[in-house]
Amino acid sequence: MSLREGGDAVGGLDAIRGTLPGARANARSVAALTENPGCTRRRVIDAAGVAAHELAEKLGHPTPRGQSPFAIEGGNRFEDRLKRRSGYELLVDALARYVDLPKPPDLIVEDVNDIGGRRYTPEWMDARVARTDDVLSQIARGDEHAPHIVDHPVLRFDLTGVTVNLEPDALAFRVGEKLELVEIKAYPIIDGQADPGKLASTAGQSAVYHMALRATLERLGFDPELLVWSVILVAPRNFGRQPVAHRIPLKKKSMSLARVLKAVPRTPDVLATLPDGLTFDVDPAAKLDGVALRWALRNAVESVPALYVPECVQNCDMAKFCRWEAWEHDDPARLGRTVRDNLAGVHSLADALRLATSGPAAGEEELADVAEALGDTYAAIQRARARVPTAGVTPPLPRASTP
Amino acid sequence: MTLLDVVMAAEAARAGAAVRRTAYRHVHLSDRPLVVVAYNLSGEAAAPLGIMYGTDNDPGKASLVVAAEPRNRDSRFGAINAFATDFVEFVRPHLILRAVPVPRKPGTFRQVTSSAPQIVTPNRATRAYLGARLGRSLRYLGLGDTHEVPESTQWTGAHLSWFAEHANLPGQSTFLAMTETLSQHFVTGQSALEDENLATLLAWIDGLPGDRLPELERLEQHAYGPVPNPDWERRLEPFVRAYTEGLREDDPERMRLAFEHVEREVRDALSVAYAATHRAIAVMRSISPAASVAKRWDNDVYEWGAHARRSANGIPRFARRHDPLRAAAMLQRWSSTAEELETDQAFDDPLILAGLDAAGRCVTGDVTSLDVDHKEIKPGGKNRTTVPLIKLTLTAPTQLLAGEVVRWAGEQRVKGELRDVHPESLTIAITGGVKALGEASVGVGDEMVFVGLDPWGGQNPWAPDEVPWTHRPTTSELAGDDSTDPTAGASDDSPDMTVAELAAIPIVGAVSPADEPGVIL
Ligand code: SF4
Repeated sequence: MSLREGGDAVGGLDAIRGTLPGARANARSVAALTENPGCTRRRVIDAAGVAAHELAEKLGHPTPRGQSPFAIEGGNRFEDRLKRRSGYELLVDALARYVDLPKPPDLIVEDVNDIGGRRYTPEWMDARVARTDDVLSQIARGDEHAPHIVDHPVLRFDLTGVTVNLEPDALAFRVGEKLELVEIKAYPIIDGQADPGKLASTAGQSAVYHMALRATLERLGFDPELLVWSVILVAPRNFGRQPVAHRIPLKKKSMSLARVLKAVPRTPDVLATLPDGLTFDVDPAAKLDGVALRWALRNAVESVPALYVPECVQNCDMAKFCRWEAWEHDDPARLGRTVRDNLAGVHSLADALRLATSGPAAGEEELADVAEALGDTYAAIQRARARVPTAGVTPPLPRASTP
Repeated sequence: MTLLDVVMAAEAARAGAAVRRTAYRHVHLSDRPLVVVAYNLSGEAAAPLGIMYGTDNDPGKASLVVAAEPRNRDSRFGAINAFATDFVEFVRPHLILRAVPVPRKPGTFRQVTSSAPQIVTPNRATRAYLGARLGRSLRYLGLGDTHEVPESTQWTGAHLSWFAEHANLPGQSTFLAMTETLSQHFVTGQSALEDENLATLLAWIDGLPGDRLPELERLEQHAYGPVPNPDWERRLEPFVRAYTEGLREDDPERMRLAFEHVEREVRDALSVAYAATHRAIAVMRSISPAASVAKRWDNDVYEWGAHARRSANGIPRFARRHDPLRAAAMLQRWSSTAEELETDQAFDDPLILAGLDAAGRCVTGDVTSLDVDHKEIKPGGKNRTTVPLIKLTLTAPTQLLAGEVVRWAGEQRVKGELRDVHPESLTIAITGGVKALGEASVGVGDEMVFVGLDPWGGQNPWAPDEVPWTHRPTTSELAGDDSTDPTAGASDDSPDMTVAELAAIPIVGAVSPADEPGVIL
């Protein structure tokens, strides 16, 4: 994903990245951005095209990023079988319960990966975007030579004021009918049920693709309603390798995502709030030693506000650093989003405990309500503990073994 | 998290040690529960690399089965069948039925079991893996268009499916996940998400030495299954490959060496998870059980009895999915059981009651006067009955109002109505459980706690004579009738790959998230 912004902001963004290598973002970046859209730090990192995992590593808090070779290989093999190895026939069969596509050789497939040029270069991405625009226009015009399947289209999309390139797995289209978004996943669907967490993240990811597709259709001058408000998930059925397709509705998810994204300030406005001269390239001449570099970088990163929640660990490569920061500051957010919201205005867990045990200090009058609730709760706990003397004690057992 | 949890978590964060959320243990623990820990090969739904299980807390005495190439049918079922043989042995004594007279129905008898098996896993994910995944993957084998497997493997599929389903019942103790159980009983200074890691959860309970976060991060690298650490899998991959190559070249020595390596790695990794799960059980055992635990375990045994009765007629079969009517009924039963559980726990345990107290749903005070002979005519009644009046000086705030019905925390049967509610004092008119109150010999000066919560206000749980409908014979059975899925029944859905296919798998070298399938560029 290349993140670029027109106008003055580009200068600021370029300065933030400096000479650091540009990021080739992945599914995680978009997830991080859309799962926690209120986080300025993540927005700035993405907008500037900084590689979050490298930044975290330099800060001394790398995210373990290994992936199982078995999982990768299995996922690749599943997608490859659906597409290339079966001449797309397996995919067409799986989709048949929702879209009636012609079988090869009548099937027309546009593989936007095969555009020529050197892979992963900006030119290559530009060419793929242009090619996707072309085929989408063909489809929307009802051209009878329009492809039935668009494999790995690339959509250029404005996400909260930065331009991103997105790559859904496939689009399926039957001439004269509607356009369908297709996602291929390697997790199993067992008796029609999938892991709820994985399903939710697929829906979240697809909602972004859906928004991007609608925006693209609009930009090209077509009716976005051509696109069905759902995604067709193709995944292995039960425990084997046969694909099965399920339609996942997206309307509610897309709408709520659109609402959330509309509510966050636009990136140029966010950038305007940052300290002048901010850069994450704190040591372009490589003069600092490890400790000094870490400190300089830490200061730079901490000057951009974060909105840490424990779920960050699942979505964002900065999570280990942000967690460390939250623990360092004893930030109530380390316990979770609801705690952060319920303790709004209380800056640390130590403060929460102080309010609970001895009430608000002078100057903390605005915390009277939360202090009263905490105080009542603490008193109730103490009453209960007085009734069962062992209740507050962690069992002082000898450890059988060290895990 | 409730405010109560927040206060306790703040205490835990300050102390660097978990804080007790309950005064008592609310699950049953058998003398020798079966601990099961497992690794599944990533990228597969149910293809175990290894399963370690046993009742002894020394991992050296645990059993271990290993599949060096779980995508190969023989290798995979070599491990699964061996586990299944032992599992069936473990379950067998609990299937013995004996006839007991049905209460209030002279001359009629019912077949029941005296006990139920108990399985304990390190975390929720392993429980779901063993039940809903492995159990589901085995339970249709030997039927229709599927491969042959030994009978004990089919039995294991059926038993695990029963456990998977019963695990949904709130308060059950037959299939425990230690992360769930421990976090029901302890509050740590980390989030619920982080509490799903048994290694760090136990570290909070055992106390965190020195620099906490780095220590926790180190512990987070331990994978207690069913998903192994990806870096560990990367190191394992060449040996899995070597096993396949040995298979293709018919080179038993090569296979043996590769197998031994995989087995050693799996044993080392799973031993840690196994020991930790036993440690978690020991922690739980050191807490004395709450009063209603025995009643809930009796129900577990009762429900297991229904499975045992079905088993007496051959391998019980389970539907792929419940039809909507049964699914709705089941949901309703779970929610009424959850309500009952909440009530029981609140009366059993002052710390759980504290949650209600904090919300102002309790009346706490010292008895200032006691009129045990007070008589009045109850609404709708004719005769004067005894309605003892207890006057309390409140020692804690309450938000309950005059007229509300309360029960005495010391004895659920004692029920009363609030009167003359003032900020400092109130009177409770005892309208039920007068005899029980008398037996408790409460006197002036004693502290009493009443709860504004009527445990019998909700639904009546199932009648004991009814066959729990979860285990009535299933109607929508098996293979091929998945009408919404045109491809159902085409195969037994196993992840088998031929030796040639396995050998053709490309080597995945250094990998990063950018290589994940469906990547966005
Ligand atoms: S980990 Fe940090 S940067 Fe990433 S979303 Fe969370 S708070 Fe923001």
